[in-house]
Amino acid sequence: MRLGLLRDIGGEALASVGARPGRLLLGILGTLVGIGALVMTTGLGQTASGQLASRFDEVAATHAEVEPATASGADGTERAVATLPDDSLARVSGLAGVTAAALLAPIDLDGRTIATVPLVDPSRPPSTPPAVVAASGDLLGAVGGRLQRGRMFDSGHEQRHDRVVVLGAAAAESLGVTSIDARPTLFIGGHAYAVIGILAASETRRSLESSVILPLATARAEFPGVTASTLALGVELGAGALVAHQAPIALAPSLPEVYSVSAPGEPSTFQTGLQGDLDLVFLAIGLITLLAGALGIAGTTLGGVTERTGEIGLRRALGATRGEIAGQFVAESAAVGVLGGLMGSAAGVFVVVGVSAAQGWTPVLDLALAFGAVGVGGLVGLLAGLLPSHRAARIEPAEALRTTAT
Amino acid sequence: MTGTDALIELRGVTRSFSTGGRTLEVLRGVDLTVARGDFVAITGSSGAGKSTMLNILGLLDRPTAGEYLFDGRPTAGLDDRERSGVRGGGVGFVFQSFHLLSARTVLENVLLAFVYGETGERPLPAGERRARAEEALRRVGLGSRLHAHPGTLSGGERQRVAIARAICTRPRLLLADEPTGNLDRQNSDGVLALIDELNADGLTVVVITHDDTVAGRAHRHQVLEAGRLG
Repeated sequence: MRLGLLRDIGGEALASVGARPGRLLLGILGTLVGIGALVMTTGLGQTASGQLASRFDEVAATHAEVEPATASGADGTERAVATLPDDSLARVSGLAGVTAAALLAPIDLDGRTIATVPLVDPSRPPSTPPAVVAASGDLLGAVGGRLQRGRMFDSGHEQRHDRVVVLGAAAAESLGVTSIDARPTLFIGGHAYAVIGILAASETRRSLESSVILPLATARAEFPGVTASTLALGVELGAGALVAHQAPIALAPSLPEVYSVSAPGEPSTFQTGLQGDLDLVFLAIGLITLLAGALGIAGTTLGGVTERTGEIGLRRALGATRGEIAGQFVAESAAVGVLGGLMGSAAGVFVVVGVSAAQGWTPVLDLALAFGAVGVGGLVGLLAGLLPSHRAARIEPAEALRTTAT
Repeated sequence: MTGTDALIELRGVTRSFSTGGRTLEVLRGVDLTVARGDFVAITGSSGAGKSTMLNILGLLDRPTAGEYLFDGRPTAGLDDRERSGVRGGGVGFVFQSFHLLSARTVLENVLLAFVYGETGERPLPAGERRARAEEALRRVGLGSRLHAHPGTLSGGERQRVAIARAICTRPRLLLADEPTGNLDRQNSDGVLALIDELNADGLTVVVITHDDTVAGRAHRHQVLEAGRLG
């Protein structure tokens, strides 16, 4: 096909598209909604993910964890090469940039039960008790924790070895503790502990939300062999590197390498998974909407073929081949798709920016998506035009010319 | 008449259609030769096969049997592209219902003929196309209505636009199907006078009509009856 004819058919396609504003609007509307939804949902997904990422980055930048380094033993198992000193909190509290510190120690229940009533009911099915963790220091500040109810235990509780616990929200729910107003009691291995608070969430250690937390000094008195395994630190923004360097020295000046310092690990996995899920959900919504838009264009173009049967006959009489008729309808459909894509992309960007502004978020949108969406609109239009164009090309000119025209 | 004088030749052309399990023979062994510069009118009652014959002459349809030669070239073996090429470059159509695009201006409707009407490797430049379209419109008396839309024209004027569109590519054959069927007497006379003029300038004309007045303007008048040419 010569270049001039391609240009002519392209010109005819544009002229024909412009000649029917109503039909053009219908066709554009389908693509506009589809592409707009695709750009908007993907953009909002990216913005939300970006927002999450920045929140997690903030968490990572303001928290750190110190743990004893591990080495393989003779039997191949990993063992800690050091322990955290009992006065760890005092050693790191004075470091520049440290805003909070807390020791965490997992407790092995060794068969002890946890219940809110002292009775042992043999008919009750056995259940897995929540994890028990001992802590000391400013736990909330060190792990980015937030209380749902009550209060956190303090140094007074520790000094007196008070039998008090704070329940993670999930642990409280599983134990049936919904309020602390009635001063609920928790029995651990037959000993009564007063529930003084419920932890709503922890930014860096989500496992605490499903744990029973008690003062470290109390735990050491009740459970032999309790050893702190983690020193959680809250640090000032930008002081992470300095604290990471200084904390091991403060803990073991002669052998600082026996400690490793890391950013909280739990959220990054959570973050990656959440971002992936969000992107997938938004992409799916966008694609489904786009498919609906494509069907809209196909329907509109198909209607156009029926409406323009006489015109098709005329063009055939003037020398158009079947291929040229098909080409014109595909070009018209693609032009509608590009127009819809252009408007949809602009509308999508507008919504993403608007929603972000209203929420105080930083809009995140891949520019390739915004521009690529216009091309996708054209491609969708082109594909949607294939069936109608095939139908237009198959119309017999002699039959088509029987249709009355202007 | 020698073979080289003939622009179109039908030799024993038959066209039948299958409908509802039975075959309907619309044209039955039609022979017709039209010389270059001739003006032939084909008349017949409704259902006699006039439109079918025009479709075959204009390569819009194929005979079921027989042979059709256009400008000495057998058309049976031509594929869609070649037939479209012959139509676009060699045949101008005028229809009873005008077939103008209502959203386009008079000039744009005429220019449409150039989109497909050229088969050569060197298409006419846009300026030349426009010049020829304007010339054709002046010839049919519509030189001052270039930018009018068909909806604003009378029936006679619309048919003149259609004639301008048919002749602007300088075809060898003008096929007119009831060209005055939708016009009053005054407009009919004007259109027929125009066709006379074009024929006088050497354009071969075949008119399909049931109007004896129209047929009377032709050099030859043939009657199609029950699929046979008398």
